[in-house]
Amino acid sequence: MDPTEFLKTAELLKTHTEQPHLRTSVGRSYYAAILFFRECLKNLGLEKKKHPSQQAHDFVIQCLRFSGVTEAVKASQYLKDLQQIREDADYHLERIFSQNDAEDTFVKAQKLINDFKQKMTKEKEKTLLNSALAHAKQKDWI
Amino acid sequence: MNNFSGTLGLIELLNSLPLTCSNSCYKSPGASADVGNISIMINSAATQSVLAFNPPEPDLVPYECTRSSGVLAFWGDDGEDIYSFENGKIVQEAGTSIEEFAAPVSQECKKFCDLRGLNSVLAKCLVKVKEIFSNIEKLSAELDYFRDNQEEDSTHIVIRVEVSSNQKTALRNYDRWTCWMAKNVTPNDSEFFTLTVRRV
Repeated sequence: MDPTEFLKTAELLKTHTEQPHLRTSVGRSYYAAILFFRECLKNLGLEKKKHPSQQAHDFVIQCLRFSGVTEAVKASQYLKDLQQIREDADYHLERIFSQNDAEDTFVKAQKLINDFKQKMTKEKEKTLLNSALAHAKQKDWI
Repeated sequence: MNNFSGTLGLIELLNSLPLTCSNSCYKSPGASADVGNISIMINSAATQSVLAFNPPEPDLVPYECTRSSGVLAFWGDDGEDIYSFENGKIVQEAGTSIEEFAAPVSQECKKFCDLRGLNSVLAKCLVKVKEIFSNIEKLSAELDYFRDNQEEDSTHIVIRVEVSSNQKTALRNYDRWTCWMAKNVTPNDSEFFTLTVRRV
């Protein structure tokens, strides 16, 4: 399955006004993005092989953050901020989520994926792979 | 409960400092009660207090017996000064914790920044948020952690901004923020920061 298909679910849910729909929309937007990048890294040869069930999100975000490629570093900040919104949506039940929140999270996830697809080059991928691999080894993730 | 057995450098540091304190206590991170007393190292003629924090540290590797890093807080009637130390040496001068932030910052967040040496980064980030975002209704910083992250301490700073802008403006400003972060804050520091933008 293409993880970006989760964006279709997010789009459907954000048209509703009930809290469960809006919060779930936020979650689907985040998972579309984090899984898209996990697959990108996997295609480059970066996969968390040691304890794959632990720190799976951190692995993706940190590989991008320590990649030395500005576009990827920027993507990691988007992902971490989306992760925060998703945690707010799933755990902070006292916060009221609006359609604006769900809509903005959806647009951010969509833009993040599209920008990365457009701006990454083979040369940048190579730099990303080398730097992220070094970081992942240092963290004992690979 | 933790005690001084794992903080050899702390004792050495305390003995080397020109302290004049009459009473003292030692607290572990997150602990509400005192867990030890270090008054034996403090000059009895003093009028100030001392508080020592152990920083969160990864597990010791085999054959490694102790680490010595953390934060010492000295306070008197005129306010609080913070010293950070590593291997018994001060790495942060007194007074750097009294950072002027451009927005309300929770006490836990300030202490976290002191421990990690992130005061200046947070101050810079808050100023930048004010500069980048228009129509700010509310701006603050607090601590949070990722609940699904089971392995590592995922405590981080959340900067929360509420704006009365339209979507296009808010998202364009957010994008500018991420560009600025990527170019101006090192990965080792930026990994402790998240920003949420809400349109109200």
